[in-house]
Amino acid sequence: MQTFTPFDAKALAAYLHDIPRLSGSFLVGSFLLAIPHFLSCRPITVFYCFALARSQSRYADKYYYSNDCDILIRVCPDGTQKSGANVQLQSETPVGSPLEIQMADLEILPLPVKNCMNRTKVISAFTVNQTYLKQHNSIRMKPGSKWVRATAEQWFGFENPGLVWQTSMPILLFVSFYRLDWFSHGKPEARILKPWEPCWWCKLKDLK
Amino acid sequence: MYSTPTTALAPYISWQPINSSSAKAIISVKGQQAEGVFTFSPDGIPLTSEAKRYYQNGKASRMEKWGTKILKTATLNHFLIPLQSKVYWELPEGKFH
Repeated sequence: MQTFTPFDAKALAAYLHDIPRLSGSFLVGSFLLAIPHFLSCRPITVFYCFALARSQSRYADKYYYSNDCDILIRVCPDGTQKSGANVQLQSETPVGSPLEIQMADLEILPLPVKNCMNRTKVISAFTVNQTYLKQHNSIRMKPGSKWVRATAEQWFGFENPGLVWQTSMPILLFVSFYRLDWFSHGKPEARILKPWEPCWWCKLKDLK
Repeated sequence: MYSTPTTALAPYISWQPINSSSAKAIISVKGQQAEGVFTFSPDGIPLTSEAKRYYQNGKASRMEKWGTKILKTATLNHFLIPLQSKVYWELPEGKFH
């Protein structure tokens, strides 16, 4: 399992950059596998080829997205009808040197922020060095356009501030667009990733 | 900041009070600086955040006001954090959300 401890947004972004291609390679493989079955009119076998490709690409996603973090938050706020049962939370071993927050630490903050810190219960909590967050979103790209359901994952690092945000938007049954945004060493970058692009096409050198 | 409240105390973030319900956060990292305005209810519940962000329209992009309105919060692993939120752009041609 690949881990990024301490958090390095650039390294993580470079790693995530390869994933859609991995999923895409499964997709291409399944197409190649399905062609002879399709030609010999065996649609059920074709379906199995696609199902296999999909499960493999999902496994690849799950395997590669793993990351160590202080708080692992999986939130499924898919509309107000969802209850607390849909919210899962796991704590991982803290990394770095977390510090316990004291009341005196809040004195430097403006009053509304201080009230919020009290309300959010940061007193006696330990500083968090990394956070992973999964979101289920509805996105539209321009005013008046159709809403598209999307899944996004975010990794935050706070000791050396960094951020990686990856969202995937399904466009066909097996194909998704990926957008990867990252902020590392004070520099923000973004890239659209297409699953059918072969690795050699993408300029990975500037990421790694 | 809302998803990980302890970040408010990070050494690279400074705060300026605006009024009794909002404050401005300024983040400075490696010579880059950005700021955002956060608002809170009187009892400290996070309500909104707004900042300037690049808005892409076709191939061109420009800095526009971008905001998040928090619709639902919950206590997860000790912290009170947003569960559901709505994101919007405030463009010269009108609000886009």
